[in-house]
Amino acid sequence: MLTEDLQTNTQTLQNMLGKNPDVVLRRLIIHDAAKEAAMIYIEGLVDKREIHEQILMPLMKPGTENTEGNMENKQVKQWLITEAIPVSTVQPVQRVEECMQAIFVGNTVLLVQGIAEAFVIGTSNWETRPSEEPITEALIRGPREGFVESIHKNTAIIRRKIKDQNLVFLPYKVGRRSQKDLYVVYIKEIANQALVDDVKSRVERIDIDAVEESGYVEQLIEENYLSPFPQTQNTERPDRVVQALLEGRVAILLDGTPFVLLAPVTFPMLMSSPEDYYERWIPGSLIRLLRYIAVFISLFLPALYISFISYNHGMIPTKLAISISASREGVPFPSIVEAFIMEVTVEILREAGIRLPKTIGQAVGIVGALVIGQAAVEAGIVSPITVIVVSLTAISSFSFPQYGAAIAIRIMRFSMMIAASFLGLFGVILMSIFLIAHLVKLKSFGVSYLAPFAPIYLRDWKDGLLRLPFFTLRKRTRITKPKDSTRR
Amino acid sequence: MRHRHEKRWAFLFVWVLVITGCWDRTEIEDIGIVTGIAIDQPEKKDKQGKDSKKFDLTHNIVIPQASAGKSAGSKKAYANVTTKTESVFEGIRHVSTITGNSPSYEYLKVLAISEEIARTYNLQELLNFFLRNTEARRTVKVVIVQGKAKNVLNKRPIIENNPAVNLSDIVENSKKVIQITPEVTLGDVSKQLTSKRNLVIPRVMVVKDKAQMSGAAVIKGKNAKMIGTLTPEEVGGLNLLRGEVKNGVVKGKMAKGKFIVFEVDRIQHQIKSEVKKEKVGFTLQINVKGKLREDNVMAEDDFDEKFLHEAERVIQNQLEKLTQRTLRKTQKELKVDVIGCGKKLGIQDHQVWKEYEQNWDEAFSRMPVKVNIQVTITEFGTKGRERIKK
Repeated sequence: MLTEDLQTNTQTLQNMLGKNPDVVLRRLIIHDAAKEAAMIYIEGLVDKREIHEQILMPLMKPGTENTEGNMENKQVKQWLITEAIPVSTVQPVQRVEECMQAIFVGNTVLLVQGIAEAFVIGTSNWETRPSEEPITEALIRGPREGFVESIHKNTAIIRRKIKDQNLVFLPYKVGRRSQKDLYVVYIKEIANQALVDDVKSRVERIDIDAVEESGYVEQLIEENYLSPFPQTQNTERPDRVVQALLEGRVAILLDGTPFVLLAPVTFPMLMSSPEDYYERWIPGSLIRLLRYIAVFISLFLPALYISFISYNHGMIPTKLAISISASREGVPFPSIVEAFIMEVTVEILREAGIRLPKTIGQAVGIVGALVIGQAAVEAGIVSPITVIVVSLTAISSFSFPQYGAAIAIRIMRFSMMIAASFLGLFGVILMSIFLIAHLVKLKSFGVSYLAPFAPIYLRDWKDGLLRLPFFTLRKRTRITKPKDSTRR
Repeated sequence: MRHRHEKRWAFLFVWVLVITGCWDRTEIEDIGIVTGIAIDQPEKKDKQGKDSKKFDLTHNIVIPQASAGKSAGSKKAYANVTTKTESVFEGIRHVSTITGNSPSYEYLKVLAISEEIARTYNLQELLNFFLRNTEARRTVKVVIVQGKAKNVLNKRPIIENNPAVNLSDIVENSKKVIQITPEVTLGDVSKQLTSKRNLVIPRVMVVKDKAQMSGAAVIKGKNAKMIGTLTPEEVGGLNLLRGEVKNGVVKGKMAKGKFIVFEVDRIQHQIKSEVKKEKVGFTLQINVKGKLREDNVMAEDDFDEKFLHEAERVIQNQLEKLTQRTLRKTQKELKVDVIGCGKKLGIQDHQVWKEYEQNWDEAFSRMPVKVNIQVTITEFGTKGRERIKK
C-alpha cells in the first residue's frame, strides 16, 4: 500500500524496480499546489514529448488561476485529474503492485506528497511496426493488411472490420512473469456459449512463467499433444479472423505476436483460404479442389512411387514400366533409399531457404533444385523419375494455404514412405487407415477434425470441397453450433 | 498399469508388421518383364517318343534399355528364352536359372499356343498355372498360332519394339474388322472351358516375317482341345451369327462388275428357340444397320429409293452367304455349337435343354437353324447424286 509520505513511496518503488538504468525518477514541485512530487517511468516505453508538454509543463509552470498553494489534499487529487494534466488517461491507484504494472507497460506514475495514492498517466507509446502484408499467407486478391505485434492495434483492426456491439474482447493476463495481455474474442450473438466457456477455462488454466508467442498458448490449450495436426488455427490475416468470428469461432489474441489463434479448427478449414470467397465461386471452388489434389500428391506420391517400384510393379502400365526400368538401370540404391535421400535433401533446402535472407534463399533454391538434382541424376545416384516425384511432391506441399497443415502433411508423408518401404502398397493403405482413424478421433475444442465429412453435415458440404455461390450458403456452418445460424 | 500394457501391445503390433516387411521387395529394374509366352511342341522328339508330355516354353523378355533408350530401334529390344519342360511351372523356374532377372508375369500380354499343342493338350490343364498365378492377369490375350508359336514372338514388328505388345494390339483391332475374331482372354478361356462350352480363339500366322491374324481356331469345350479352324470369311459369318460385330466392312457385288462397300454400324441380334413335338429349332433374327461407304456405281442416285433397296439386297445376300457358310462349317462339319444356341435354349426352355445337355453338340448338328438378315442403310455419307444430270 502507498503511504502519504512521498519519500517512503518513492523508496518502496525504487527498491522494487531496482537500480536499473532505464528506470527514471524525476522529482518536481507542483507549482500551483505547492507540493513536492515525483514521477517514475521507464525510458523507451514512454512518449517523452507527451511527458514534457502535457505533464511537466502544466504542473511546474504557474497556472492561469492563482490557487496560492493552499489546496486540501483531496482537492489536489481532483484538480490533478480534472484540470492539471491534459492526458487522456489519469488513473488514481492505491496499491504498489498496480503502480509497478503501469510502469512496465509504459505509463508514468506520479506520486504527490501527502496523497496516499499514485496517478497512473497514460504515456505509453513504444515503437510498433506498421501493418504489413502477411508473408506466410499471401493472397492475389484480398486486403494487404496483416496483424502486428501490438495487441491494441490488432483489436482495432478487428473492430474496424466488425462494427457490432456484440463483439466481445475478454481480457486475460498470461505468464506469471511475462504478464502478457491475452484477449479471447468472439461475437456474443453467434458463438456457442459452451465453446466460449471451454476456451475461457482452458486459457485460465495456463500456468507458465512466460508466454513468448501464441504458439505457447496453442500448445498449452490443445487436446492431443501427440498428434502432428494443429488443433488451433493460427493466422496473420485479419480477414481470416473476421470470417472465423462470423462462423461462430473464437479468436485468441496475444500481445507481442501477429499470430492470432482460432478455435476450433477442422482440416477443411485449414485447406480453405479467404481468397476462396473473394474470387467468384467457380474459380474459388476449382482452386480449393486443386488444393486437395495437392494434399493427395504431397502425402502419397513418394510412398506410391516406392511401393510401385519395389513391390507392386504390376500397377504401372507396361510401357511406363519399361521406361522406368531402363532409367533406373545402374542406380545403386533401392527406391526407398533413393526417395529418402532426395526427400531429405529437399527438406534441408527448404529449411535453409527459410533461414537465409530472401535474396540468398532464392539462390539456394536454384542450386538445390537444378544443380544437385541434375548432378545426382548424371552421377547415377538417383533416377530421373525420383527427381520428378520428389520435386512434384515439394511443389504440391507449397500450395497449402496454411503452414500448420503443410507441416503435418510433411510429417505424415515420411511415415507413409516408411510404411511403403516395409509393406509396399499394403503398408500405404494400412498407414492411411491409421491416419484416417486418427483424424476421425481427433477433436479440436469438441469439434471433430474431419467435420463436415465425418460426422456428415451435408449442408456444410456446399462449402466443403467446393465453395458454392453465396445464395446457397444461407446458413452458418453447423460445425461450431452457432447460436444464430442464419447468415442472410 | 492397463495403459502401459496397451502401449506394449501397440509397440509389438507395429514391430511385427515391420519385421515381416520387405520379404517380397524387388526393384523394378531387377525383374524380367515378360510380355509374351509361346508354347510349342519340342524341336526334337524325346527318345520315349510322343508319350512324354514335354513342350517348349518360350519367354519373350523385354530389354528395357533397348526399348526406352535413345538408341532404340537399332538394337533388339527383347530376348526370347526357350526351355523344354513337362509342366509350365518347371519351365518358368528354369527360366530363372538362365536369366538373372527373375521373370514377372504382371505385364504378360499374349499367350501364344501352337496349333499342334492345342490339338494334343487339354488347354485347361495347360493354362492352369497362369490361371492360378496371381501375377498374370485374366486379361492376357490368348491366340493360336499356325506353325511354331515362338515365331510370332521372334518377328520384329513394323513400328512397335516388342512383338508381344504388337500382337496384343493387333488382336485388339478385331473391333474394327468383321473378319477377325473378337479377342479371347485367359479369363474367357477359363470361363468357357470350365463350363465345357466351345470356344473360338483368334488364330495367328507368320506371313513374310510379320505376324498376322488369320481366321480362328475352334476349341471343343468337352475335351478342351482344338478341333478345327475357320477361315477369315467364316469368322465374319460367325461374328454376325453371334452379333458380336462392333464395326466391320462388307463388300457387295452389284451388276456389271460394280461393287459397293458397306460398313456395319449396329447389329440387333436375337436367337429364338422353337420346340415343336420333340423337335428343336432355332431362328436367328439379325438386323444390320450401317453406312454406304464406297461404290463405283457412280451414275446412280443415292436419293433414289430403288438404288438403296438394291444395295441393301446385295449386302443382305452377301451376309446370308457368309452366315450360311459358317453354319455349314461349324454345325455340320465340326459339329460344335459356337453361336450360343445351347445357352439360349437353356434359358428359354430349360426342360428341353436338360434332355440334350449331355450331348448337346451332337444333337445341335442335326437341328435346323434359320437365319433372317435384314440390312438397312441409314446413311450414305456426304455424297448424294451426280451434280450434272442429264
